[in-house]
Amino acid sequence: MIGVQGVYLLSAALFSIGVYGVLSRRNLLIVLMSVELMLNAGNLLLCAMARMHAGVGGDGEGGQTLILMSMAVAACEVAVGLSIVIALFRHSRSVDISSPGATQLRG
Amino acid sequence: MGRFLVAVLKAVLPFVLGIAVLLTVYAKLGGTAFTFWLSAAAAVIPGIFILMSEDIVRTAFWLLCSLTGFAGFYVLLGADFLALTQVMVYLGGIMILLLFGVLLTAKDPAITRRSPRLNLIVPGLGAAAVIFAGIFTALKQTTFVAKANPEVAVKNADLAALPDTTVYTIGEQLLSNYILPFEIASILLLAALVGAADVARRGATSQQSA
Repeated sequence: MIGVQGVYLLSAALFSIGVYGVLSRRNLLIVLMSVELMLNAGNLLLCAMARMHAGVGGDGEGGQTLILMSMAVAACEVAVGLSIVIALFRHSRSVDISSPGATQLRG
Repeated sequence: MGRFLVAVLKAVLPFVLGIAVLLTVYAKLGGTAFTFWLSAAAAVIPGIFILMSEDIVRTAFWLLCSLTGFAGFYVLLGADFLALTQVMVYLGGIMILLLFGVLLTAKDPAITRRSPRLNLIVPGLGAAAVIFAGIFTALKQTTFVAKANPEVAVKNADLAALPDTTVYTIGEQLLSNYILPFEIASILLLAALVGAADVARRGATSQQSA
């Protein structure tokens, strides 16, 4: 279990924890946190794959450079997501996903 | 004096016991396995608490613990620069942003004490189980390139063999092979910054006019 395969298993578990959080929690901020967890699980799997394939083909740390890009995109996503949550809170005084203001966001 | 001593013991004893247990486990497992299990516990257990916790500030701090566990895994996988970036970007930047979000939306009285309902729990659990099974099966079934070179695969799968530092290579690649994605990422960050400020401000002005 201890080895890169164990990291695969754990990142799959953390990703599904994030999926459960996104689908079941009602606070938009916690939904955002769960999305962060999913993104990190993806990054971790990418890192494990990069480690597994070091020296097999291509350049060594290309995967880690890709994770850096992915982290930059995650930072953008959090900033934009939070500003949307705050705009929604200003609009309808609630950050609940089933509040009237949030349900107006549909489609 | 006696009560003071008891209070001090009560405060200190859990830490001493915890450190003793950790040291015993460390001596028993060895460095690699210890780091693996510690990072796994630090990532998964707070992750589950994120789903359970009723208080949003505590949820944010559980997320912080979980992200620290990820940094431990990066260390274990030999990605030292990524581990530092994880701590700086996520624990230093994104967590602060999320806590600001918590502060700015703290006026919603019902939100913190509202636990998920059954009509959200059941599909959530179902989807999480299906996705976990899907990812796990995909990882198990796919023939990765490393499996075609068994010696390399066995060598790379051993976490105890720590590779050299990757900072030099990443820095060189970012400014040679990956210069275009690097520049695009910087433009994306700028656009997201301006866009986020604009979206958040627009909400404020419409509220004032209303």
